[in-house]
Amino acid sequence: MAQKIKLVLKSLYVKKDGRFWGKARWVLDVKVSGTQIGDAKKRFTVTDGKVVKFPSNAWSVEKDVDLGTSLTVSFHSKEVATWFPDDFGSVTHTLKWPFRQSVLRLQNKYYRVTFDVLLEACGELKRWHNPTEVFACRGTVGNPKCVTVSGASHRARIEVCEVRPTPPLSYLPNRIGGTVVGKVTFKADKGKALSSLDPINVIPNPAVIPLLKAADASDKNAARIEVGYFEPRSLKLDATDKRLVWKIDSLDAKGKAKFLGSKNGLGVYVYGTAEGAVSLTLTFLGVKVAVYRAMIMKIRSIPCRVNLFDGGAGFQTTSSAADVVKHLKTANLILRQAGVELKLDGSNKTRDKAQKLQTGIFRVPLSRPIRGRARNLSGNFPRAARMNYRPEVLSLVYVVSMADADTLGEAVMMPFNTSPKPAGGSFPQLTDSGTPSASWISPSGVFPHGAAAAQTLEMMQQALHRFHKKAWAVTVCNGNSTEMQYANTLAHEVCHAMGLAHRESTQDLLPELNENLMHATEGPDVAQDLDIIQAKAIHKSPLVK
Amino acid sequence: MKRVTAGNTALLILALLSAWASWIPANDGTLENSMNNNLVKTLSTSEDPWELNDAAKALAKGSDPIGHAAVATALVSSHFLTNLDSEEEYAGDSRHLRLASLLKVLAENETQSAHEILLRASESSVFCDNPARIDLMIDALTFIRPAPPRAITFWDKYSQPEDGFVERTIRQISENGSDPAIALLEKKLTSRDFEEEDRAWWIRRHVLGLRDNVTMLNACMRMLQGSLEEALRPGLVEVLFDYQPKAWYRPHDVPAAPDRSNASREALELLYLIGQSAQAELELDPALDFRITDELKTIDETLKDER
Repeated sequence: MAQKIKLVLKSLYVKKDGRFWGKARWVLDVKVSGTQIGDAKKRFTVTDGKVVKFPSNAWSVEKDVDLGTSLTVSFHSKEVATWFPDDFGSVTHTLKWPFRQSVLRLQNKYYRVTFDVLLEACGELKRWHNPTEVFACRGTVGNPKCVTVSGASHRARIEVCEVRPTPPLSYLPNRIGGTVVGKVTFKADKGKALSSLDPINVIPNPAVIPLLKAADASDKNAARIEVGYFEPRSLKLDATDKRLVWKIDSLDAKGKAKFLGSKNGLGVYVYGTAEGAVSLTLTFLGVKVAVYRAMIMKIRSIPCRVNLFDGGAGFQTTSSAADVVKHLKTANLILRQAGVELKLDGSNKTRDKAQKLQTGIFRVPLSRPIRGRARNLSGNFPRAARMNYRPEVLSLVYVVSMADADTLGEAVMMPFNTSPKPAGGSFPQLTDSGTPSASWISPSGVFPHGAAAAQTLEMMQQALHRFHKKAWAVTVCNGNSTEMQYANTLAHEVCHAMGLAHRESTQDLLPELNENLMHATEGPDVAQDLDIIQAKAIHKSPLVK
Repeated sequence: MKRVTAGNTALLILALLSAWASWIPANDGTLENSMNNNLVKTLSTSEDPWELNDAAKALAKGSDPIGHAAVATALVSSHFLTNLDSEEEYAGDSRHLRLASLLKVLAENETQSAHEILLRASESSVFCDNPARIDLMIDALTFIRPAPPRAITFWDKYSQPEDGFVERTIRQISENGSDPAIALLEKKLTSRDFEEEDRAWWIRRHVLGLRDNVTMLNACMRMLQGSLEEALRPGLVEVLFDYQPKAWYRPHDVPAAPDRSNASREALELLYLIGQSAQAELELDPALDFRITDELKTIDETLKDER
């Protein structure tokens, strides 16, 4: 009764919380029930905030497992040093029967490691199947139930989850262990970074489907709505599967959308034709199996101006105008989910001796007496944020560093979001109802959860300088090391400037979700999602035109 | 940065080592340690950043005077510093320099000689020739409690208006929290060299964490009695009695207020006096006045319970 399971080490993220100083070379001892994974002698140079990606073939292992088997996964990191190497500790986890296809995240105070746990794909009947798995689907039109090897019936399950990357199993409604759809092309799910070369619709299942003219809609700009998971695996659904049929309905008698191309298969392209709310219903053999909820909105711009501060050696940003263009393009891949985009302001008006580098991007020279404005900025209306700004145009302030060494950027000057403040409350709030709930917050309305509950998002305090009330700014510093990290920091801080608080503890009244862009400390490879309630709030920010 | 040749530097380092060794008390137990001798040699001859990193950290972790002398000498040597981290690395995040982990090892080593290495480097024009190194020294000295006078001198020097370090220094001296550091914080809070809005921010952001500290409360008493401008006094009272994290702070930097149930009796008595005096002498917002009354009642009950 053997089954094959594959564990793939995907990434190592060194936490950025002040515990780890400097740069170190680590060697990694990764074992699965005694079997070494990867090259234990390979050295990895790490700094805090850094994500190390692993080539999957070299850092994986396949194991035959059986009823009652367990697998112990261990990860240990140690510094490479001839004398007194520092030990950064171990993490271990035991996987038990019945195994599930999942993402496994293990962490200690220094780092977090992510493994993919993969079960053998279906289609090979010579191999043993999970007792609850259907190897021949006997579902009929109008009936989603299938018969399993053990004779029990099992309801086919198909998910179109709005949260990408898909959260861990512990967050999701119960699954039995089916197939994470390989067709899903979300970059982070594949262990790749978002890049400025990607098409604007690279992130599937956005909260906002863009309003487009039919002549303009293409597979490069229409929203991609995709199945992320289905079970049982033996359904063998594919990209053009005729058994899967999508249908668009308006939820408010206003929103309208159309398919671009086919309306069959695991994924479809959709563009909006009238603003409002819509649902996409997916049927399998005529039975409703999933509902996706989205807003149809015109893509609106966030006018911005970039100021690159230059006070000479040690007091200047390392980013060039060309770098900034890439950062903005990549940040816009994330913001697109909420139907907004950063757009460089066309004004040539300058202050503080700023020099135009290209449209919307300026070099701001700092003479010696004031060059310190580019270093160690605090959150208190830093002077750099008050230089060369345009009223009511968001300044993206590129500087050397923040006073808090663990901060990569900060929203420092912004107006209140225009969502209403509740009676007696100090901060704007917005409530969203609908099925499924935003980010599938439990109860989500997704089987086996009960009916979706309304969710309330609380927004942040405004921060307006008494003499510069129309100056809005976010800062970003040299501590960001990659294009994706800059983009993630920019998108995150811009969302703060639009009123969104952190998606952690009770700061925004919603449950913590690491995959959300507004998680306070999660790395850029995981924290990327914006959900429907956040998208609604963003469109109520004065920054959005 | 200009690089000096290894040969010339080795001679210089050996000369400086002799001078340092004569200053440090002898420790016969480790003096002849051949491993340390190899490490010392590596520090003075290698140009490989990782070799330098490993050797310097290994010596910094120990207590051998000769080893510490070698690290002290290296930290004021441009040869060592420019080989340990490249110019390109200096352009990035200062906390990502190899030097950062070396300074942290020294700061966490509780021996006097390890801290002496830091203090000597903080006085070196070679070491302080680079703003990233100044940042790291500002951070590293935070670990030494109570802050020695030379640390206070360094922090004072690097907390001037618009110098690019002041925000970091104020953060770190409040983090240090020892009496000399609090005295420096009081000096900065009452200095007219800084704009009121900067000092108002420091009160909210940095006094908060010390608001049940007796030394800080004595400083607050002095500031409220006259050394702080009138416009800033309500803000100081507010941070002692009416913590409002969502309204005050930016999302990435929300400090937690100390748990008042852990405050000492002396601190509570001082708080009581400050609250009463603020209500009598300051024009307070009614909401703040109410909060103070509420807090004073709690403090009074706590003090009565302890009697």
